[in-house]
Amino acid sequence: MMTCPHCGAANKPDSRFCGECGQPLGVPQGVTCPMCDTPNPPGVSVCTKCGAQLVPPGLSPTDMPLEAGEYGERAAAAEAQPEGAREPAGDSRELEETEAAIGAAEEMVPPWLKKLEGIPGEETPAELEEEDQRELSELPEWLEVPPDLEEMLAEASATASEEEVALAEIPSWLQALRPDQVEGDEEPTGAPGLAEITGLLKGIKGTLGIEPVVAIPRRAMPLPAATPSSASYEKAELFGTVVREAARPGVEVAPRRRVETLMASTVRWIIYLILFAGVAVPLLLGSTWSEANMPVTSATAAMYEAVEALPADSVVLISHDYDPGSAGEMVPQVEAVLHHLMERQARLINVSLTPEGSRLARQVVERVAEEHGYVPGEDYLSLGYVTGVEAAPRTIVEELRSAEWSGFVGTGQDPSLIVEFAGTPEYLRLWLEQVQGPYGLPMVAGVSATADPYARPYYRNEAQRQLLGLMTGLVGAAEYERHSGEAGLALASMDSQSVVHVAMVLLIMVGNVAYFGGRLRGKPS
Amino acid sequence: MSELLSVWLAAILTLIVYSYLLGDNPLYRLAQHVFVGSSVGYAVVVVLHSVLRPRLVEPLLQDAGANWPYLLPLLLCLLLLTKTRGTTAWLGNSAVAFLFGVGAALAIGGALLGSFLPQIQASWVSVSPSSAGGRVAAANNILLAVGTIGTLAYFYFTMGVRGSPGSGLVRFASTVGRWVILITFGAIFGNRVMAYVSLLIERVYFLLGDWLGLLG
Repeated sequence: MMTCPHCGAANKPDSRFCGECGQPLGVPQGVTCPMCDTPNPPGVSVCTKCGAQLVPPGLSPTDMPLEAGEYGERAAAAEAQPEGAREPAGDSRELEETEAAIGAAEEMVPPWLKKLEGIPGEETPAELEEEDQRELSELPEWLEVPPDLEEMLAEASATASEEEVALAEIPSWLQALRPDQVEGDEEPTGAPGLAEITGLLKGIKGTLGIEPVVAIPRRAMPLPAATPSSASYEKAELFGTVVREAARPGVEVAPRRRVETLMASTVRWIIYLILFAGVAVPLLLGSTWSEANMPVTSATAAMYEAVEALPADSVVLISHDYDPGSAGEMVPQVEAVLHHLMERQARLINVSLTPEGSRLARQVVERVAEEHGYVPGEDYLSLGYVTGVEAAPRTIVEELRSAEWSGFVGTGQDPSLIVEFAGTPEYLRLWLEQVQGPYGLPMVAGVSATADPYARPYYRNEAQRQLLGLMTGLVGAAEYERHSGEAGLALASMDSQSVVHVAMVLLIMVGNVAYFGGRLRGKPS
Repeated sequence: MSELLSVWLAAILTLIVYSYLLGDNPLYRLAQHVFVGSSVGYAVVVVLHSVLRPRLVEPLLQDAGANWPYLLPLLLCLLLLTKTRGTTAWLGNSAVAFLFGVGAALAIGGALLGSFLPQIQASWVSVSPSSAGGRVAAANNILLAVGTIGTLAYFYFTMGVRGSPGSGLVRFASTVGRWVILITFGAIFGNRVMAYVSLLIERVYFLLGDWLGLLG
């Protein structure tokens, strides 16, 4: 297991990063930056994150920041010691290494820096001292040090002792940190770190926690010996080879992309043309294959039979709930059923739950009524758009039961059949849930192909006969026309629909063959 | 003349809409805006002439004393207009509550009577050929039952956990239900494609027949 140097979490031996904190694990022997705590790999002299100068590991705890004056005291004590005793035996090897490292660092001084050493104008320390004294003599009168400064300071210290000042100035919470006076040489316990030795915070540990490594004078240390592996050498050689290699001409990417784009666009337009030709050619040729061969599903046949079973002068309520988006499918359905209803001499009440549906319905109804000699107001009515959404179907049926409609429908009578043309399943559901279920009226529906999967369960409900018949999309309209023997727009469109469907199936097969063929050859999709 | 103009206008707008095959372009956007604007304008006119005038204004003008109950929906409509300003929006809460209450009551009651209960009853089918009306009908009913149970099992997320009693059976039914759902989605997609092909046929029929006069 490998322990994370940052959070202490246990990680797998081969882990490169800590699974707990995400820090890198591969630099246990590296140097931690004293400024930003970033672990750095061995051998670097500056922090890879903040650029601070790194202090190599191995510093002893005695390398703490020295108070003012301590440097001088320590230097005097060192000079007073004999030459042999000045260097403890244990530190001799460390000093030798340090001197060797300093020598090595001096050797590493670049030539341009060595040249700067002899440039005239560099001021020596003696010259700097003379300059300082010259500047001091030129100080203004108000900035000069008064001759009785020492006497003034002594007088001030006599009036207020240091302890009094500390007690007066230090807040209580800080005063609590001050260690109790202990007798003898016993070390006071408390917060870790150095204790302040002067000032108001004297004796308190852990305050003003200056990082010791920051305050320590920089000492050059020998860099850890790097022992790169053979794999690293190989990678370095490869990197060097790549860097030294002459620049090669770039690959012609743009023309290839253009070609690929052109290919994709061409394929797309070929598909468009196939679909358009599949629609237009049978129409232009006037193909009538479907008129003779198209089968009729049982759902459409059941719808036809429901209309066929109506006695003459039956009142049929027709709801046109579609919009221009689905009119291409719905109008042929409406036209086929209207022809059949008017042949059966049914009286029609046309309503719509959508504003657009009323306009689309009026065009078809008026055209078909004119063909059959139907008189508006007597043989059929167009009530237009009815508001209310959920409430509208129930409102319509209730109103038809009222006395106002007794002349057209009969007193208290319901329509003999409800024909719902729904572009979306929501409107079909409204009629089923608000009228067919509560009132039990017979109902058939023509729906768009999109709504068919939602309408099919209501037709399949043989126990309750919720929908007596169901007609789906343009195909359903064509089936209805064929079953009634009156070819119209829907039946004329069926050859186009069949050709397009066959073309789409072939295109899907070709696309799949190309895709799986490419995968077998190992090419990406 | 007006019919010829409308046919030409419709044909040009149709071609502009199909120009989207070349990419998005200003003409296509223009057709989009024309469609949306004309739809909204038409709806407003329909509401004014088919709803407000004959069903509200005229009854009140003819005999306000007898038709005073019409004032109640008029008041609710006016209260709805207060929703346009934040400071007066609270005045329209009662109208919105009325709309939601009526709508929810009708929707729930209708769904129970028109969809929920009838469809539960419809799924109670016989799998015996003698009572179902033949082997094909019986096979259809078995398929219906298996599909219904499997789909319900697929959405029964709290059962079928490994180790629980009957988990294998529930997971098998869930797998069946997933396949049934996928087949249903395929059928819906196929129907949608068929619907779009029908719409394309209708437009091509219009362009070739009504506009260009190429069809007999």
